[in-house]
Amino acid sequence: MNTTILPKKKISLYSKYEKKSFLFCYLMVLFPVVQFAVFWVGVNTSSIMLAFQDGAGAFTFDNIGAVFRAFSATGVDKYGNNLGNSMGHSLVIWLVSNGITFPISIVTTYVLFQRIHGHYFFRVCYVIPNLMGSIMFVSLIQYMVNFDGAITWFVKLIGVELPEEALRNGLFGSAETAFPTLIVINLVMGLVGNNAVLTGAFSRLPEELYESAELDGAGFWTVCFKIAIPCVWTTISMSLTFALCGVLTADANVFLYSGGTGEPNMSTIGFVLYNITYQISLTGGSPSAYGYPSALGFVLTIFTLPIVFGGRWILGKIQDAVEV
Amino acid sequence: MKYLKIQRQTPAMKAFIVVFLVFFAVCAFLHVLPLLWAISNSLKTGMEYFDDNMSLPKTWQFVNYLRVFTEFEIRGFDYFNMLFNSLWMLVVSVVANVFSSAILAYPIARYRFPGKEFLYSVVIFANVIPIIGSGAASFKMIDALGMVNNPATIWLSWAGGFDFAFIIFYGNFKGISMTYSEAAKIDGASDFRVFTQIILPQAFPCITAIAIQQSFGVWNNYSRSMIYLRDYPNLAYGLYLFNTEANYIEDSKPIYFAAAIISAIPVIVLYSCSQKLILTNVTAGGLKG
Repeated sequence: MNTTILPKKKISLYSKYEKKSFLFCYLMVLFPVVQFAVFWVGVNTSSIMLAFQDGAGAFTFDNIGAVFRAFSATGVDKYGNNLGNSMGHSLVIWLVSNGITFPISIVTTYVLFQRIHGHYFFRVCYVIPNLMGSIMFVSLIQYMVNFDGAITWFVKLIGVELPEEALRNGLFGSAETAFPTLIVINLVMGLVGNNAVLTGAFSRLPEELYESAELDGAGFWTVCFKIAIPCVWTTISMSLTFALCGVLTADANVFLYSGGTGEPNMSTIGFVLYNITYQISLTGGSPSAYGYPSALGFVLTIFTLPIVFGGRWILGKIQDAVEV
Repeated sequence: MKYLKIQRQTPAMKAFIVVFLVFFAVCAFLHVLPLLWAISNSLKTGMEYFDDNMSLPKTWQFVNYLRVFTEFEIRGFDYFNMLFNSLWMLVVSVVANVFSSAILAYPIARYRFPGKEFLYSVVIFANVIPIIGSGAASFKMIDALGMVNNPATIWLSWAGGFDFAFIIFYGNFKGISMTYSEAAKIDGASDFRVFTQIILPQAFPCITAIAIQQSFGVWNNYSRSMIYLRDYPNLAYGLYLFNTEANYIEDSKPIYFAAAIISAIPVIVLYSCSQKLILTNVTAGGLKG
């Protein structure tokens, strides 16, 4: 029996109607894609290449070696940074921000969202430091932690014994008190929630959800922890994922607090990276200037990747548990 | 809506509310304290400030606020120069970034075309994979392109569409019903017309919310001027310079505080007026169920 094999008709994944729109779609994405190609792909590729180049453009591991030396207990880089110390500070700031203030801010955001008395006024108050901008906020805090400032006066009032250096130069003038002061300021400013993304997620929950919970006899905290927060877990998870990406870049305004020096004992990785870029911009940037900061960025990216992937894996597991 | 959606207020719940109110009030005071302190000191003479910066002014020097417009000057730039730089940076940066994110998010959210999934994955990749320390390479690139101290071209580096605004726009565009756009297409409207006359008006609250939220950051951004536009200082960078370099001016500290307060007023007013718009339109991530 003869069987005739018919030529396969090519089945398009897209309808004729959809194909007409291709040109429109590509024209729309053209500018953002080119911009991204130059200022993200181009810059990051260049950064990786610069990490392995000397001033003449020849391949070298010297920059990477310099980074590792600056991580050792006594080592400093050519900018005077001890990276181990800076990394320790960055991790502490990140842990305080995301391990203490973020969970508390979820609850406070929820309580504010539930329109506690004066919620509108509180929200405006909490956002004022952000609206003032870091330049103004930091300079005001600097004056307030000066030897005769309001915060220093309050710290003495509650009986905290300050070292002589702090009494003379203020809380940011002593190596013993500078970093703890930075942490406390970040902690206090982050405790109360005015998280716009989270408030938006809470507001998208249907009103009936709360009403039916009330009818079933659920209390305020039951609704908060067993209904509202699990329902917006995707948003929380996303916020935490972004937070993971910033594990080493959170600088807590150290550049401004320390007047661009990172001293005394306040330096963070975020500060180091920004300060080196600033120093390069001041001098115009010699060919040899880019190797070390690029190598530092490369090493830190490699260090951060497992943290981000591990964190995302854990968040995914929690997400699964929430949805079961 | 009544206060606190759970209406059955037991004594324990009432106690919680009181505790929270006290906690919120203390936190509010701590957040506003620097501003109050700055207002108080902006109304003093320089001598009075150095004598005692904790007390209220003896005679209220409201004239310090007028002196900002004549004496707040650093490296040859006066207040109005810096205000103009802040304004153009704000408009250009926000428009460029919002426009770029919107035109990228729209086709990815609502069309099927080859490469769509790839582009979406790249956006997510760029947002969740931390590439650290590219600041130096970025400066090298921008310098090589002749964009340092060049307002005509520097905005190109600010017009990134692969950022968090994309994620907000993507969710928003996806949530807009297809009915109107399909009806418009049946009536012969082009894809571009559907985008500009059907979709953008519906997405307007979201676009406005994103633009307002971004404008706070741009208004207070000092690092752009500090690194890339040193010959065009904005108010944020100007305040930094004045605070660190202008100690030779009589009453420099009160004038500094007054200038900082005047600079903060537009954003505080803008936020107060747009709070509800921002909180109801800036949403990302899904809800369970």
